[in-house]
Amino acid sequence: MDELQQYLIECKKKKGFLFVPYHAFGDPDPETSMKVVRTLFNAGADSIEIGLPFSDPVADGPVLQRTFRRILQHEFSMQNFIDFLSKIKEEFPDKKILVMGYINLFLQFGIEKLFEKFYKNNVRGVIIPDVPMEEKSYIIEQYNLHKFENKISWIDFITPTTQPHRLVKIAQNARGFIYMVSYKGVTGRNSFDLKPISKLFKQIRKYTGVPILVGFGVKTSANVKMALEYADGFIIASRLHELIEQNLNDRQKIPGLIEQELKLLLA
Amino acid sequence: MNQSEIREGYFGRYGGRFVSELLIPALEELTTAFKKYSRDSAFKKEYNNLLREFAGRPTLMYHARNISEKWGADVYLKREDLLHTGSHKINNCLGQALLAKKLKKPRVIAETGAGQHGVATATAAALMKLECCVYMGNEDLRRQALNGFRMRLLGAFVVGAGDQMGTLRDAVNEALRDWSSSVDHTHYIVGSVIGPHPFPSLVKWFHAVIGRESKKQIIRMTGKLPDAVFACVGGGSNAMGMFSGFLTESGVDLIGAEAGGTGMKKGEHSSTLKMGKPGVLQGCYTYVLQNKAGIVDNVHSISAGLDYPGVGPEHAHLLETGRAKYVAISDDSALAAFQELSETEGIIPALESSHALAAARNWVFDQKKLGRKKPMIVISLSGRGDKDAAEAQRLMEKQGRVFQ
Ligand SMILES: Cc1ncc(COP(=O)(O)O)c(C=O)c1O
Repeated sequence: MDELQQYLIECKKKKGFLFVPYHAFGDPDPETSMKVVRTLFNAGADSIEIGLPFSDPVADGPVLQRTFRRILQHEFSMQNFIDFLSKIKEEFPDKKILVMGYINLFLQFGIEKLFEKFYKNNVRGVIIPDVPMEEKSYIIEQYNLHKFENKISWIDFITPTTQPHRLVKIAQNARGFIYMVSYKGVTGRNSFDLKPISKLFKQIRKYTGVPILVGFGVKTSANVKMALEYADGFIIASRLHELIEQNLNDRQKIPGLIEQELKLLLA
Repeated sequence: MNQSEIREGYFGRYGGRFVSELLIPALEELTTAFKKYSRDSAFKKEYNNLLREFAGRPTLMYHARNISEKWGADVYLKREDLLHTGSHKINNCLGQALLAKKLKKPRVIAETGAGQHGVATATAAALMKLECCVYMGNEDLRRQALNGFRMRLLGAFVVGAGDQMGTLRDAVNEALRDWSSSVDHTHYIVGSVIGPHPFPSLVKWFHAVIGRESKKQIIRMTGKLPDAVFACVGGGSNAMGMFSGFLTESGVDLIGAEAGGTGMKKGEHSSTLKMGKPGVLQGCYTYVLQNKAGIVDNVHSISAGLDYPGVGPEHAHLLETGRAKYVAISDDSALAAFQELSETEGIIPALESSHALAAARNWVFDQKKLGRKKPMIVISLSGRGDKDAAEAQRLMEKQGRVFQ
């Protein structure tokens, strides 16, 4: 079993579900960003998806588009990102981290070298929304990434459009967890209903024991309740960056507001 | 990598399918349909009828005598500008709209830069009774305002993309986002040989008619093959269409003209093949203008259709194998060529096509310096310049040119 799956299963044993928020690195500034990470862990996050900004985030809705634009007003450097991960490791040595970002940034840095640095800094999974299963195996082959198989889990998505034969293949090969996309579309929409895709969860369970985390559109405590009816845990992203965006002029307040929001959400 | 190892959807190491899992079923469905219909004689007949009766094919191969005399070369223009809607884009749109019908998708979407692809999509949609939505960058809506109105007149819904400075690349992003939620009932008519597989192959297939006709026409008219063919490269669809007719003729130089903008510093141009490096943008692995970390650059061209930080993956492959060459043409050279063809030949070209003209002119003068007498060349005149008239006037008057 890969390290990430092991870690998540242990986390789930402790409190019954998995809570994995997303936070885009550097929003709204490096210092506040670190405070947000702290807040998320203190509020019970089992892991955090640390997001890499990108100029052309085709899988993201308006909130995260604006988030990345905000972050990219300052030049992005992967080294700063790695330093950020190492600070998180120092402060939360027991927490395993996830990195989410578009593939180009991985390729430009050198994906093998990057995985090594990630692993050293407690990263145990990567989520790359513009790489489907076929390209993933090609990249693993091409860049010699087999050695990370159990160390850094490359997470797969299953979506409402995934056909049955693909679902089986993805589930059978899944590592870490499966990212279940709740609807057809980009991140951040205000509609969340898992009933139409309830069958997919049953299908996935038939073929894999990895946890299923639901993402896209989780914003309210009602959404959370519904997510936990079907899945092992949930991911929340746009709502948290909306809060940051609304308080850019009073950044001190951001961690506290996020803390409050999470209390409501998890209540 | 040897030829037999090249995977479907790849040109050498370029291409692929870098999109969200959400879109994979639609891309697979489209790939299957493309394989089936590109071999289906009824489909081909229907498509060819549309090209002939609606679009106006075959287009002329015109011996431009005044320019030939002026440059001291034999210059032939492939007149895609004479097609219905004013550019080569209609070849692809009629084909893909027909595919959308076969796939039973009642709605089509498109991105557009200069607006020519948007207009061609809106036109095909009107003809085939499809609902149509076109994404266009806000800066492009300003500088190609005429096309914004044409699309609306044709019944399309036009949506501005990006911020104030939004261009073609923002329009592609928005179209991809639309598609990820509308994929059940919508076909995305990608406007160039870019994006995830099968689009680079499919769009090339629909434009291959440009190269096929050109080869036949030039041989009929002159009894030989040209020394070189020229086309502008934004995403690279008119170039791929033209080049495909001559790829196996090693005596014919293939030359693509990219936008050199106002200079070769970051942000001043969109010469992707000259200044970019391999990466992933909008669904495929190809050359990309980007910074060291992989963040995609903001780019510039006088010509909205070339103002794009990526390029079709097959062009990346042709660059790498050396089969084609790519040059950067500055805004000013393009504008000068725009004016030269208008005055000298009585043909007002699109600013995009003006880049191909300028590249051809430079090449001819270089060849003559090398002692070559009267080279014979074919230039893809991908579109007409009406859409650019207002912007060109503004820029030329800024340069001090007075029109009485
Ligand atoms: C007339 C004309 N030529 C060329 C292009 C560039 O597209 P491509 O490089 O795909 O031929 C455009 C795009 O808008 C165009 O309108």
